[in-house]
Amino acid sequence: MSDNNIDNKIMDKILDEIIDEAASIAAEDLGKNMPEPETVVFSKEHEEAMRKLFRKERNKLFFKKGLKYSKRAAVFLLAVIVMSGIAVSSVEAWRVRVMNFFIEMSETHSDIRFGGNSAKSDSYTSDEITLGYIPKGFRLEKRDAKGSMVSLAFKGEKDYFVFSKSDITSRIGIDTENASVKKTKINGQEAIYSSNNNVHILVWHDDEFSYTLSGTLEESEIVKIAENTKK
Amino acid sequence: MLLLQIENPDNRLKAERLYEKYRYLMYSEAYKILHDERLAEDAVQQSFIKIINNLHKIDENNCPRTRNFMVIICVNVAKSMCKKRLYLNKRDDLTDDMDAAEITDTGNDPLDILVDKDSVKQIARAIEALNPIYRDVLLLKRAYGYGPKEIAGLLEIPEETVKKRLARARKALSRVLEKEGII
Repeated sequence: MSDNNIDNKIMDKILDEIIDEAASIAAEDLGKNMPEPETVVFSKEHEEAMRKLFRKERNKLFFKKGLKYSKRAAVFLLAVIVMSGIAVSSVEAWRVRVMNFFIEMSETHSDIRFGGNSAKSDSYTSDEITLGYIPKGFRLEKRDAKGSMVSLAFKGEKDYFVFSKSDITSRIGIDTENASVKKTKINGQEAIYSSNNNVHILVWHDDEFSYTLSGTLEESEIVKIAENTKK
Repeated sequence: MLLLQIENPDNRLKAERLYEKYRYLMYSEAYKILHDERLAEDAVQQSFIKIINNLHKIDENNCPRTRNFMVIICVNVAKSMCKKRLYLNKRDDLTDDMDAAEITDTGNDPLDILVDKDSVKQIARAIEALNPIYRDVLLLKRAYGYGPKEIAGLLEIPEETVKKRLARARKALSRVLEKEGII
């Protein structure tokens, strides 16, 4: 390569960098120098079209997030099923397998902590939540927190359940296709109980938070856990 | 199977916040081109369909830059609507050809470049003075970080045209800078 070619490349690179900086200044200046527009009364059709557009976008976002969470739930269940089918020599070995799996699965999360030996009792307490009742033999396998949302996964010998707490302003949806759904009450607050293929879901709320409890437990056990939940 | 769907209110509202903030400006710029109230409203709507797909690169906190971005999108949508309705003459295409004919390669010597704050400001002025056809693609790439494919989608022009305009913008800018004695 000739010296002249190298010089041209260096010059181009320098010029590119200067143009990048200058382009930012130009974009800023052009924005600053635009005249202030007059207030306009838009037509009803236009306002309705914009409302529809934003509503559509909200729904898209809603389903995108839903897909993300449902994929994670599906992977979690699949993993539990697969690992349950593997003959391992000790409970501790099984626990290590589960732990390793959670580490890989949750690496995109901001805060991951594992229960380890802390969940052997019949209750669970953390800064965010107290579960005053945990069925016998269940242990915390995973705690996942992001912002105001907390998710706790418990595993028993045969069954599992997942408890989630999120801000009341967040929207929570459950897939009720082919499921039996009924209204119930948890500590005087309205709740929805859904059951489908041996997976049961209970959703309820208080003034600040909404709660979801899902798993393979009996309805009476799910309700008991929910009724003994304290902030 | 459990399907848990959680929506972040902040993300949800970004497009709406941008609309509230810039709708009058966008409408006014579109109206200057279309001279029709309904068409100007349509231009605002179509702009937002594009903007919604590129929300992640829009900085709400930088008002002048974002203001300029919203106007670039809306003005180009309005122009595109004009073209489609045969309101616009072939000026844009002719300008493309004329500028292409005028642009000549510059034999630059890197040692002659003097990079200081004043030079950068002079280059910024030169960018502002470029024909908007070139200025818009140049700013979308250099100031807002969009790639040719994304720009093509935003401005409703083929990707090849974006690349052509970027190359010509770069050459036109080099020529202006040479004339100004910056390089």
